[in-house]
Amino acid sequence: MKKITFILFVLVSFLKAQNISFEASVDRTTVGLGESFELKFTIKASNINAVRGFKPPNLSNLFILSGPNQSTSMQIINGAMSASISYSYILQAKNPGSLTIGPASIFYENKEYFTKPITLNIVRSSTQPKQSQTQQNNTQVITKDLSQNIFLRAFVDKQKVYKGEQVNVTFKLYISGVGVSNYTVSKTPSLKGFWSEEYNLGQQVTLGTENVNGKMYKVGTIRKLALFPTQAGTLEIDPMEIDLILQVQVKRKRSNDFFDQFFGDDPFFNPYTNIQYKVKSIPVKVNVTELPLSEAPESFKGTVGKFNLESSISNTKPKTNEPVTLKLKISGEGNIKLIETPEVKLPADIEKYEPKITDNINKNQAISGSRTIEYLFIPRYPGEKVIPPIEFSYFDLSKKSFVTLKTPEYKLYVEQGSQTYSSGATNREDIKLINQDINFIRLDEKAVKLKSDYLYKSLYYYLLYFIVICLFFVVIAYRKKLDKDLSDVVGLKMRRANKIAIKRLAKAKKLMDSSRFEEFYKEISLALWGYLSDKLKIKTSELSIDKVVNLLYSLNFDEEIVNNTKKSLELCEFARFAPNSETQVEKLKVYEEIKNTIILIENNFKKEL
Amino acid sequence: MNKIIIFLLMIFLATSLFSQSAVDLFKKGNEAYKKGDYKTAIESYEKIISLGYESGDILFNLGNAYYRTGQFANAILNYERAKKYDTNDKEIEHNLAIANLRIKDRLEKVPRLFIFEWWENIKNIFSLHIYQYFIFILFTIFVISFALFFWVKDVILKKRILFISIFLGLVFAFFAIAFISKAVEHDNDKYAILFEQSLKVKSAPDQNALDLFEIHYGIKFKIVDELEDWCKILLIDGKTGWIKKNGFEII
Repeated sequence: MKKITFILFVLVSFLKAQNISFEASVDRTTVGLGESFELKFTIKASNINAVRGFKPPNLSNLFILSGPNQSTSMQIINGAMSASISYSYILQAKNPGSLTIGPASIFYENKEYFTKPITLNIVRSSTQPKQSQTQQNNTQVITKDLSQNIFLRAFVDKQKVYKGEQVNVTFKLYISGVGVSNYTVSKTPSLKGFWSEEYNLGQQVTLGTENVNGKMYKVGTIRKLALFPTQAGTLEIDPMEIDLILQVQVKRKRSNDFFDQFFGDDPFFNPYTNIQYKVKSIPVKVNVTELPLSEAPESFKGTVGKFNLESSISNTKPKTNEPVTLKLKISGEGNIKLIETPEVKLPADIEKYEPKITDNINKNQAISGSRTIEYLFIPRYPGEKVIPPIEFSYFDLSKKSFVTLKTPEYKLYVEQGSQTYSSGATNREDIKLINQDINFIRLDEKAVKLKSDYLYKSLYYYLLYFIVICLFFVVIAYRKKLDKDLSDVVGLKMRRANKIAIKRLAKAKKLMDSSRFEEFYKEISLALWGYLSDKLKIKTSELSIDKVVNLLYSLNFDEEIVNNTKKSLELCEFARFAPNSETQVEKLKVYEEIKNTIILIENNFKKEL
Repeated sequence: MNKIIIFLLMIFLATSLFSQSAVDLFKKGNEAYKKGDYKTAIESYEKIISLGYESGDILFNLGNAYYRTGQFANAILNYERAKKYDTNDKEIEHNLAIANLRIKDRLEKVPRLFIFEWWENIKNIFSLHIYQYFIFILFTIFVISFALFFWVKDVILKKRILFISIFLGLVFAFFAIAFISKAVEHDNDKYAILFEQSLKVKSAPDQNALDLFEIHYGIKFKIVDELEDWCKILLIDGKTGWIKKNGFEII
């Protein structure tokens, strides 16, 4: 049991130890006396906030030139955060010999952690020959000559450039006769009016030598920038400031010339004196000329340099809903990062997505490289679609003119795919609208109308309906009245038909007796037709033999009567056209026959009633 | 009697004066819009509306001016209001569709049975203003045909007229139902446009209730229920939830 507990304990402490690392390090273990070195304590822990109570080791046998300098860094990998704190010291040994830096301690989650002790070997003479050695007894620092011996300069490779043309600016530190133990850039130039790209010079500043006004300097390039002016006019590159920790040789008894110290023959060994010193570059002016924009093509978006354009398409015979990629590669010299994505004018029914942009930039003498723009689009409907040429323009510095590059025109033959397009965020109508603008306002002043409430909400609206209904009944009533009047007239006529017929027959008889046959026939047919017209309530002009027959049938007259009537009517017609063809007797017969017919009809009507 | 005449004259003068200034404002707004001074245009159109004038065209212009200044919720609100005056106006529909593209939410209408869509289209043939006259005219035609039926004596003609008038009666009844349902909808249904940038829609009228989804600036929704200072909303894609009664404008 005890064993298990022990194992568990070890395991737990092991796991815990995984959680934190606390280490001490020095930049070198063999240090010359008077040389400075760095001592660093690094704590890596998942929960950095739980780190408390950093206790440095005893450093009483060392000079602390700087420190403790605390820095914290944090990084998140795959969602797990790890952070580190480091405490660093710039130290210098007091005495030669072996030196042990004891353990430092921290508390982390209520547990104390220690670093391993570090043993240093302090040697009398440094392994690398140092430029200078100083005398400890004289600490007077000569600063008046420092400006001659250490300074910062900014250089531009061109004074006069076009807007967007690259200018390289280099900040160089000139050192002569002083040692620089450390430097920090305290103020970077703000570079207003420029787009800047920094050259990667590496961690270490490589030193060269340069002769300035007959004096040899060690020269280090601190920073090199590629600048692209974004506005025209005279632009100024602000000064850069650097804080230096100098290892300055103090004034010797016989000479204060630093240069002599290079060959310091003084066998006496003394620590350096560290002083802080600030250097500042002089502002540099660059003249920026505006591009001849009046000649610029429409597709010009401010790119300056020299470029090539390549393009390719992934598929020219896609199915609907199948993505197609149009790749555009702009490569050349100039500010690749400021290239604006050229616009593709696609047919409205092709869905367009945000282009994917990849840059590949080389920073050699000039910024160059390539930008790959991948336009992704999805044709939603089959048919032949044309992707018009994509234009890209730039200002060519060597030709001093604008150059427009074009991709070829691509044709897509979209075939109907199997899957139907289920519209997500955008449907067909939306796509069509994407490149459209709103319609213009209406200018007709008739638009200014008082806000009216709906008529249907007022009683008047329903009153209108009521009026219409009332009118309807008025019309009906009027019709009824008309009907009544009409029926009165017809009724009167009907009742009188008999009498009129008798009168006409009597007149006809008289005419027959006086041998006026023509008039006789006229009268007798008038008697019959008139009678039928009144009886049947039809105008004489609308009557015909067929109609009379039909009407009589419809009034349920006997077939005999109808036939009789028909015969009489035919007789009338016939007699009218040939009045003199019959004898007196026959004429009398006609007369009798018609009279009989009228009487028959009359009787029949009476029966009906 | 004289007094009444003077009074009427004054009213007439006052209204004509007002209308004159409204017309001037309209012209001013249009001029400002043409010049691109959309702020002045908005002010002018809003002033006209505050004077008691309103028409589809004024609201349309106002919506355009708001669109130009990037106030899309306001633009959508005014286009929706304009639609109440001029239903099925192509230009309004077009601008509204474009304005709707500028807002964050893209909602798909819940697909409905074709017959409902069809009925909806019938209701939207005319705006309510025109519908009321249309219905009255239909009714009058129907009554005339019916009266004609009584008037005519000829049996065959009478038969034909009866047939036509029954048909007209059915047409009238059909549109009358559409009109009534539209009017009832108009009086009872409340739609609104959201002016807040984003709003969490809750599952219940309670601050601590579950967040169902989020709606954004410019979205149109229907207010289906109200409870104290909460209201239940229905989006066109069929989602419902509760929001507090602020940050939106009733159409």
